[in-house]
Amino acid sequence: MAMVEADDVSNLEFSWGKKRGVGGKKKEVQFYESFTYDGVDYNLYDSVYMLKEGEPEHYIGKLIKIWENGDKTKKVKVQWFFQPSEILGWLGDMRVLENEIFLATGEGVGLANVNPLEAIAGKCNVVCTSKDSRNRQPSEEELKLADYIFYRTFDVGLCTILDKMDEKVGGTEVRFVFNKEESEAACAVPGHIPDENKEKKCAVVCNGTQQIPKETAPVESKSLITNGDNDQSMAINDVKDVTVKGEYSTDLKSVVTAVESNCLSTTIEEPASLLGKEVSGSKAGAVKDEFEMATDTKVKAEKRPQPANFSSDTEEKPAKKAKKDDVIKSSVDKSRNDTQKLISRGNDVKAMSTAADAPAENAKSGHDVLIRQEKDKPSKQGKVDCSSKEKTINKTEKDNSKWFRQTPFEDRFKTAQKDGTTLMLHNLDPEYVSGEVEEIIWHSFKEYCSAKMVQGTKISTPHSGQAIVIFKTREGTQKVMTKLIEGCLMLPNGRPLVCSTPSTFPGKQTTFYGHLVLDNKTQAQRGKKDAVSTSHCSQPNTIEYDMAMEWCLLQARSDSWWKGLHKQQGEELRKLKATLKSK
Amino acid sequence: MEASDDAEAEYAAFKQKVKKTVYIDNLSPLATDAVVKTALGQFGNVLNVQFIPNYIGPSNMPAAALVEMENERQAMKIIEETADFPFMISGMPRPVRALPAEMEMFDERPRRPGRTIQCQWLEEKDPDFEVAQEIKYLVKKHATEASHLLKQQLAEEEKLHNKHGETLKANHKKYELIDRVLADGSARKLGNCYNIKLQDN
Repeated sequence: MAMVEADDVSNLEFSWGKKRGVGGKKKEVQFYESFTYDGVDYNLYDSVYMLKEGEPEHYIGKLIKIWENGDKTKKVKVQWFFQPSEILGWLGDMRVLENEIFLATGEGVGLANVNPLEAIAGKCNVVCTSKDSRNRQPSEEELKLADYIFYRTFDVGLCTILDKMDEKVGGTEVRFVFNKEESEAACAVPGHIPDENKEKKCAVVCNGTQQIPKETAPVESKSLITNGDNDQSMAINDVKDVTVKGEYSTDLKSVVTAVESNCLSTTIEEPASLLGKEVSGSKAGAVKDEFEMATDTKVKAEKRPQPANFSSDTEEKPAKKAKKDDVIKSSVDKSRNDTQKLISRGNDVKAMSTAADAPAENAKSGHDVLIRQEKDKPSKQGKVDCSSKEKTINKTEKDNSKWFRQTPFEDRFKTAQKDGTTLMLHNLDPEYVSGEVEEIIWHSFKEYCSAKMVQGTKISTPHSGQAIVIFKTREGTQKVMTKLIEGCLMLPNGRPLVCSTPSTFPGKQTTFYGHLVLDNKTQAQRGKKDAVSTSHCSQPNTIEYDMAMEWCLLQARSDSWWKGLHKQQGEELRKLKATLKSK
Repeated sequence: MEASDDAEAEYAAFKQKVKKTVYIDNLSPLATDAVVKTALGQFGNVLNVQFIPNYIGPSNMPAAALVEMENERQAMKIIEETADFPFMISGMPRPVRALPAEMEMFDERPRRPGRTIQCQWLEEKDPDFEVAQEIKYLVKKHATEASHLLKQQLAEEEKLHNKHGETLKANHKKYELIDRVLADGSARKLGNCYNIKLQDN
């Protein structure tokens, strides 16, 4: 492993900067304050982009620890920033600035991870705009140059958004969170993206799992694993680490996949079993549940001591493990406090859905391991497993396509129509909101979708609401459609769900009946030129007024038609529903 | 339960927002949000204009928008005024219609606190299965009925539109004729003929 990395790095310029201290049992771990990588200088507490497997986007994090192990592997510990899409479920309708991100705080899964230094994709210019008096206020120039700004934090334990910062933010002293005194931020090189080669070979987080079991977990490994041959060796390590006792086939890739997908499926099935539960996905989950969780967690969090500082004795382990070729018995307990950056990413979601029905054998083995791992979790987190297990629909995953800068719904709807991945749902309670529809679909079909309640107008029926749903795949869409036609999904109040293929998107409003235009000359003659371009109340004794009255009359007639229709339909529905045995 | 209080508060705030919002429809495609904002600005302070997108209806449906006013009183004023006088935006003679907004019209709305949705698959043996299938059928039928009625309504509107077009043309012709006879002196000649004194204006 060390060899592999050494190879990687040899392609890229790298040098250590200022040393800090040493750690580890044999003093073989050297901490650093800065380094230069691929021509960019990095300092402690800089914000960086971290590679994300197979995705053009990157995670954003803050370097809070930099070191080199005895085996020459270079590590960084990163405190994460959350993009609004990742914590959407807790944002509510809170206003979020366009380039705003949230620093992770509190205790629990998703706060920070250890990653190989090579996973750094470049420097990210994050400016703190907190009005806190301790924060050096950024200049306009700095704000203009900023890739992202932040002034709020997201507590991964309590799942709340805070706009005040205490002495420490997720274990990091607040002075390192705020803008640096000297205006270094402005000269940072933003958005340095690695070349392909680097990306491909970029090392993997799996190491983190071995190295600091307290901090990482397989799920995270997954999210950062990169493609490429190098994966294999790392994959072995990863699997071994996760495995308690297990033999694995030589098909390492599949093992990795299995483990990955099962990390995820575990999360789905035992959402309450770890502290990361909320983080893991039930963002938009039943509100009630979350509240309970939040309160429970809170109580515990208060009792909990500060997070244990990074203990150096754990760092030894990777070196040892890496050497062993046999199956390694890794104490599950070692990795119990795993900090998993479980917040679902696009990839995860896919993996999740496959994991849900994947019968693969190795999938199972991986699965068991993980469940055990989680079950073995020690008291603190185990207890968080609160009473709120799935009382109601609890969506346990989320998708980053809900990124707030996502393409407008209209465009997605058009594309989805072409691809055949969209459905119309009827007979919903008109009161439902889009999120609830997504939950219903997730709960009933285990299909991820993006839903939109059709906004009501004065002519829409009061008896049922409609929603447009966009699925990920055509197969998924077909599956849902068949199931809904053949089967019968009953929603509360005797509402079986009905689906149909949406009619073609009407596009831009083409014609509008009711506005008459005369050519300019005539308008001028009649002195009504202005009337066309502005708004006005019509005066009696004009021809316009008479016509307006006729429109009002027609409107009143239409209204009575609609009223009649809705009344009759309501009556029919009521009669039919009365014959339902159960409600 | 701090969080649940938050949800309650959010929901209450949303309700308040609904109250001060007016639903405007029968809008022409020419009416942009700036136009609507200016048009309704005379009744109060317009905070926000949002068009209700039409994803499924026919493309010749009039547009509708939600206009958030500063307060409920201003919203009520718009509704009253437009009921008393036909109010035109971006064209005539079809007036726009203003009505109180309803929750379901909003795109982004908070969920009702405390609502849980429980859904279940009905077994085929379930006594309700048949009924449920019938309901499904009925719902579809109702949707078809509604779209049919909408078509009818639009057809009626088209008819009225054409009729008005004709009327306007006829009126226009009449005015042009009058203009012409006044301009070319035939009116005066006729006046002389019948001994009526015509005054130029």
